[in-house]
Amino acid sequence: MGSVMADGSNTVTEAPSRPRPGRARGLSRASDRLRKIAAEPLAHFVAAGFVLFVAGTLYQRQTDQHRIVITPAHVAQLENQYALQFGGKPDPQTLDALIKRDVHDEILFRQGEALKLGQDDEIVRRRIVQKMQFLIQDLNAPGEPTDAQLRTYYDAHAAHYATPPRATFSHVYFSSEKGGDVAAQARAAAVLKTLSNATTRAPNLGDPFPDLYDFATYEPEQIYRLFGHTPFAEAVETSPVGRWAGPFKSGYGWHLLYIDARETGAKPPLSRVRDAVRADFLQDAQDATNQAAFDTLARDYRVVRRGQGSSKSGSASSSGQAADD
Amino acid sequence: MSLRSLLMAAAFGLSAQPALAQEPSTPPGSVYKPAVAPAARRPFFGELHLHTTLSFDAWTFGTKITPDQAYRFARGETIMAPAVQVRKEQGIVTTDAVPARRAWPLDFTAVTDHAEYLGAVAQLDVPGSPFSKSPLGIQLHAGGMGAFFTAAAAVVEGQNNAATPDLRAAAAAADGWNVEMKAANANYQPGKFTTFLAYEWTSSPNNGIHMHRNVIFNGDHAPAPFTAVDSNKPEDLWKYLESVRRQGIDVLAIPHNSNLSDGRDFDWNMSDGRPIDAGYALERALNEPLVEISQTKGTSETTPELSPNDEFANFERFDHIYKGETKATQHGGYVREAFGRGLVIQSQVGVNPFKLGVVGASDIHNGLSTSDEKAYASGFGGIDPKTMLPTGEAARAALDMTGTSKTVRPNGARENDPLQYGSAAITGVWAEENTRNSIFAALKRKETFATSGTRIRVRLFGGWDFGPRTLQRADWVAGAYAKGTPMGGDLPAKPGAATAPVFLVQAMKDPDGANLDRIQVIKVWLDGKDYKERAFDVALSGGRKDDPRTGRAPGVGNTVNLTTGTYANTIGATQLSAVWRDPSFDPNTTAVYYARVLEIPTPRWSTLLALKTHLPIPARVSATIQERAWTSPIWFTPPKS
Repeated sequence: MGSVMADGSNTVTEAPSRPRPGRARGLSRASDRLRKIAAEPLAHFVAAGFVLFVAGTLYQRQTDQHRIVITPAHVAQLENQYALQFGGKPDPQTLDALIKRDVHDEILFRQGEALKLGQDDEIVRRRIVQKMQFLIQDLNAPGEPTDAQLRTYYDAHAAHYATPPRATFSHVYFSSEKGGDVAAQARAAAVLKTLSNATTRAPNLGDPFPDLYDFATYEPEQIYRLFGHTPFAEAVETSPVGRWAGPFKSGYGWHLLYIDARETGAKPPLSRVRDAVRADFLQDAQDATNQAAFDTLARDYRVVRRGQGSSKSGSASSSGQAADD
Repeated sequence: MSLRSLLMAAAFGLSAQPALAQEPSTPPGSVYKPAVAPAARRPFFGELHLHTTLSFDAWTFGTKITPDQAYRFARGETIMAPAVQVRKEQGIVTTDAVPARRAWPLDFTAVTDHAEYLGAVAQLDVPGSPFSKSPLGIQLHAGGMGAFFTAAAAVVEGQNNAATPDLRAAAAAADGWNVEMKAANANYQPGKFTTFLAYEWTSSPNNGIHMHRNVIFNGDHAPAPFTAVDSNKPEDLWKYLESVRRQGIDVLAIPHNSNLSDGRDFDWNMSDGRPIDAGYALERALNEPLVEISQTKGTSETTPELSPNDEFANFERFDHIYKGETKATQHGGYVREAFGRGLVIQSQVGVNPFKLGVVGASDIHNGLSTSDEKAYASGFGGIDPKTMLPTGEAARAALDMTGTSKTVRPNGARENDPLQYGSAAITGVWAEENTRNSIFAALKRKETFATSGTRIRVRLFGGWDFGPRTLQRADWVAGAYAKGTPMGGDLPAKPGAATAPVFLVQAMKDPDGANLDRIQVIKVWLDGKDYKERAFDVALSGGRKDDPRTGRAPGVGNTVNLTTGTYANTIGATQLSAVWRDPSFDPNTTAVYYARVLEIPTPRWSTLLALKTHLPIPARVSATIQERAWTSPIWFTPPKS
């Protein structure tokens, strides 16, 4: 069954092959008889010739430059591409046109390939490099990590998953605009001497502060944003818990500081961050195997760079690249 | 949790602990109900206007940063900026990606890519994509600014042309809106970092007039964007926003660059040329409660021509449209005038269409939202000053030393003037917590302020019976909410005995930045078929007083060293506040009041970039600026007689 398309190419429609029921049983009965025939030398010769003939025919079918086979799978792929772009299946007419355009492109592609047009083309080179990278990635896809592997990985990268430290504190504020900066610092120092650590909050001993006096469970980043990258913000991170300290300078003036509580950057249980750890583990493993796969390939290559006068050579693997100007 | 944190969390809800679970979105028509009192609202800073590689123009500039990377950068992560981008945009010679980290994390961010053919042009980075083989694709790949105009003409300014089917197919293949939604949702950390689903509607009638609006959704999903290709009339956009709300998703639109609208954004007329009527005014007020007052393409507060008595009106102007060719018509393009026109229209049709709160943003096109003066290098890009400082021709181009600003574009227009760009602005909101619901509610009630990029914190309340010592009470904020209105609201009804409204205003400097020069209250009031305006100094640093004859105070001084690019906080104040009673109040006249806070002079981005790259400081623009904050206004409407 065949038809000639408008652009002159022959399109052959072939019925898809289906496995026939009972075929496997038939084969096994036949195989006993075959075993007997196989013992005879003439049969060997005939069989070898037949195998060569079949293989040749098959090979030609696969490699015939002038034969374009459109499989149902390929049609489905064209349909999907269309649906992705236009949000629905193509109607039969559109599908026909899509196939025609695809055949058109395939013919030109094969002609171009025969002329080796892809050889010095940067886009083709990049695309093949990319395909090869995908291939390496597929071939070396890392397996699902064991619990022990995850635990080791987590312990090695614990800082990355740690929750930031948090401080709960109160402060007393001394404005530099009341009598100057030096005086504000002195006023703060004087008040500090009078403060007992049994007092955990004393805003009224200082000047009015336009923002809060009490902060509960704030992260360093938040403190820096509210008070600036200043000694006061640093003190919130470092000052001892349960006693008054200072004076510390902020973007607004001088402060006395009472740290009520501090949660150190906690290491969460692995179970709580397991998904993130697993994703990072797999990514790292993939990166490492990709590099290893490339290094294996690169071992078979020698890179020679020719400069003016001298020439050096070296291995192509990532660790030992040689180069000159 | 300590006793203090427990007690405080119970009493004020002030804990900075991230909320654990994501709450369902507040539906349109309902009021967000927080667990804490208004007095517990905190200031959050964010970005509401940012482009990535999915915007057609950003791609042509060389941007490769994705929405996901843009969000991660905004919340303080180190991201790797692709080498091809920093090579093209910053002139940095590298084959490796360059690490970039924001100087301080933002609290919230909306990536607002151009919705027209979202992601289509970025399909050129997908090898073998059909778009890369299309005629427009090939031309774009060839690069240069010519490609930008080809893309812009096809995407925004032209309706249907030969490239339309290819662009449409490429946008479908890109699936950009899903990419945007996924990136926003993946980076939302309730309590710590809020993201909004958002996009830019890029209406550009007459080849470059900005009628653009950013559309911001509340929630984790939203229907496909309504684009300028669908219609370039705001009235049609509002119909779409209505339909979105009917689907249970709250949404608002924010106009920007009214300075480049050639007088159209706050025109007296509707799109069809007829005068604004009550229906239009209602729709507009409902759909567009906010306006972007400042961004890299200039500040839209006012100009010296519109406000000749405002000595600080000449700030970061960007006043040429048609790509640098023509001066835009000023009337109808600036926010202060819109406040006045709103009162005039209200007196005629009964509704104020321009009852606008203010926000600030970057409109940066390279995916890196920065707002510090030293993290900017003109044009479309934020930079990390530690790793991405522009070099060579890129630095010279930013400082207008290459003659490119005189280059005539393929369509006959001039380039934008690189020195007219200003570093980015940001939005401040007063909200209960850092979540989508809470911040969106703050945007809707206009409890917002804009700054020219620094973290000035400012509060404004209006009422009738605030005594002169109000601000000395520790609980004054609770009282102000109870007896008055915060910025963005209407003054409560005037008690019979009251003679004038009283405003409470308090500002704190950026804790890492410059001291404050002053706080002003700008009053705009109805005067027949026109409006009048006046700026009052309500708090001055250093004990200065207004000269009673001129009504002006002596300047704060200038400590900027133009050799080192530094300044000293030896002048100005770390905080300023005032209880201000309107001395010229007329109970029969509608009026608008907003506060403006000025910093002491600091070096402008162009000065800092010149010093860093050992190039001359440009003489054509001011070497220093007074960064500032603007609050949303408070309105007074006399009772109907």
